[in-house]
Amino acid sequence: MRDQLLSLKQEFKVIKEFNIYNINTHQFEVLESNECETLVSNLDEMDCLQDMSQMNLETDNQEYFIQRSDHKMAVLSLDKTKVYNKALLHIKVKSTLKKFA
Amino acid sequence: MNKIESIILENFPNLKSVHMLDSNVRFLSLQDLMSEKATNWLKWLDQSSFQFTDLSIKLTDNSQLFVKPIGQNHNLIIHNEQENNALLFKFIEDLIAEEIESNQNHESHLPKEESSEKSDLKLLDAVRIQKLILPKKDEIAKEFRNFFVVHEQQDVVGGDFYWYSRKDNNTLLAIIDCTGHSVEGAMTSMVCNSLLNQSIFDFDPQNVDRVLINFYDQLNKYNQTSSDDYGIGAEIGLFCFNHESKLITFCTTGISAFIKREDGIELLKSKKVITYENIEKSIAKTSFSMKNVTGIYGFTDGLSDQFDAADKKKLGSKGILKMIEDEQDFDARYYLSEIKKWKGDNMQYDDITLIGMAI
Repeated sequence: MRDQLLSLKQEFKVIKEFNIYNINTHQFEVLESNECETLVSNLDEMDCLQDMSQMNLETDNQEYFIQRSDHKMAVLSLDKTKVYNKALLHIKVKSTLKKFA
Repeated sequence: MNKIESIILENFPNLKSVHMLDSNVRFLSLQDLMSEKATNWLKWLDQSSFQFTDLSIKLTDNSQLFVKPIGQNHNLIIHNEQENNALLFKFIEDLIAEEIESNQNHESHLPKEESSEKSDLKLLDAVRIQKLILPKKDEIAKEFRNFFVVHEQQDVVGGDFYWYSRKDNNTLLAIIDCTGHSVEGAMTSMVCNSLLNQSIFDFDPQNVDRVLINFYDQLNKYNQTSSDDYGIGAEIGLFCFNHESKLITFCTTGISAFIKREDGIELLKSKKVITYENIEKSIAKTSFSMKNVTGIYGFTDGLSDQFDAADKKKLGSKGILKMIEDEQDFDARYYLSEIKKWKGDNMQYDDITLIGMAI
């Protein structure tokens, strides 16, 4: 799993962190730092994760992308200063996530 | 309907909903207008302190929620099920950028008649000046267990204002509805604020109505100096909380109030006819003990006279009573959200002020 995430990070330099969250266990399976932890646990507590398939959230200096596939979620922290192919990243994250299901 | 909402809907007519919300209005107030899947997100938006600049959530394959804070006071929230998201996002990005730029240049792309309200610098100065007469809410809040104000002008400036003073052991709080709204009302409010400040020079807690008599005496003199027939007027609801005798006195010339006690809610009405020349007979005065009083709600007729979304029925004092009875939170957000629910997309007909004091 970690190799695949690493490979995706190498392909998309925009990815600062690639975390995996399990909605059923309410635990991160991969957590690179606690940067996204509060946001995700807060969304989980409010039962928002059940009602989404994808989310993009931007702050002044940060961007987060969340992709859900069944009970697993990819939680990415992105470098807002970098230009990237958003559609391609979304497809690759989705396909990578399906491999972990 | 807000101008940005209209422009977006003109270009993307198949959107499920578009709302420009005041930042003090709850997202959850839109619950009924959106799909069930959006409910938890609306709750999260209300509770989260996460400072984002853009948020888009794909609720299902063909349902997308988009939220964007606009300035410090508004949030744009769009629910899309049919329109092209990429086109929509690009359009909104450009529209907001254009709007900010046009406000900075004081030249809007919108028709001049509509845009002048917000982009006119002189009017913005007027807004700032009018805000100077409003007392600080924090200062008033110290006097009560809890306190809130809903102060919604029909235009950027208006004729409603609230006033506060402390005289020894007495807290004086007034709601004033000046004649006219917009600029006319705002100019009148400046005069009335000044007259009210002068009217408490001989304040006597035994004769609270004296404040209003002084006020109208001066107002009459003021109107007599006018060279034409034009005169200004105002309705006032003055509360005096005597902390020594634990008595509340309410004197009014047109402002009504609800008194919430442990055993029920009572409406204090003003007299129907106000004659400035015989003002003493026009003032309705009531005194009652603070004991058992849990809340007081004073409001201008702009609230009770506000028509519903279908433009058929006024909110009335019964509607306000229902809001108080159903009160979830003793705060401005709850009441603002209830008023917006009642009004829907209908226009606001008059300035609205509602003040709540928890004893």
